[in-house]
Amino acid sequence: MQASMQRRNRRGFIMMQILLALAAILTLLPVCILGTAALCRQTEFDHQIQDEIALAQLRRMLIIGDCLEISDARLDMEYQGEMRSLQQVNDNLVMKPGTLIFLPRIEDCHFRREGNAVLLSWQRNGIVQERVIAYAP
Amino acid sequence: MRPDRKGFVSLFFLTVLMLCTAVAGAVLANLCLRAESAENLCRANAYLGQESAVINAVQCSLKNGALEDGDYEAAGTAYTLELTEEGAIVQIRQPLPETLILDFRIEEGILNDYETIRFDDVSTRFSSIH
Repeated sequence: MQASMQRRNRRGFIMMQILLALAAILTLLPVCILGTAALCRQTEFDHQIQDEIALAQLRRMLIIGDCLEISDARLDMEYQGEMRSLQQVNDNLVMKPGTLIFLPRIEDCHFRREGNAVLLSWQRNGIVQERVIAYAP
Repeated sequence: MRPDRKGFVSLFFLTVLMLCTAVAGAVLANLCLRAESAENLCRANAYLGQESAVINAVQCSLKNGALEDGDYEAAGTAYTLELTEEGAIVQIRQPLPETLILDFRIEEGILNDYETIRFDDVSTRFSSIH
């Protein structure tokens, strides 16, 4: 009788532990999933910051550059005594001669002048962005 | 004798807590680094803005053959120009103090490149940019 009671009590005790564990799992699982998803998003290649770093480097080259000529899809300039052009080649914004890639995986890009500012606009994943890249009085 | 299983839940909680803490820490560290990158870019662009104004003015003088030592001002940037054998040294006084070492071919009027020495003061980072 006493042994039977003990066994029953023990079974119930284990069941309680399992229920507690399940409750804890169900409570913390969404938190873990959200945290992991956020971590995955964070470690993805961030185009926004990479683009800004590339544009900072491009701005520096354009500061040194001279005789800027702008057409819709192309920018020509004299850089260190040589002619260079900036244009879209396949999916990349490339400085030629050579293959110095500034903006990768873009769908479209245009140059335009607004006052003394030279603006570059590009489209990636359907989102159009525009930045000032040079000052050409 | 009833087995002592109290540690089971504690161990489980400890594991989940460590996992959550690690994930949260990684996300936070990543966000901090992104914020720092954005801040550095903002600062780099502020410097590039004043460098652009100064170099445009220097290039203009270079092409006109009127490059001389002295104190100048271009687009709100005050600087001192000092000619050297290989180019010039430009001391920008304000808004962001820095030194530019310009390398140019004076006969052809072509600027080859320039180097910067920036006097970056962390305590004035935000106040000096905005």
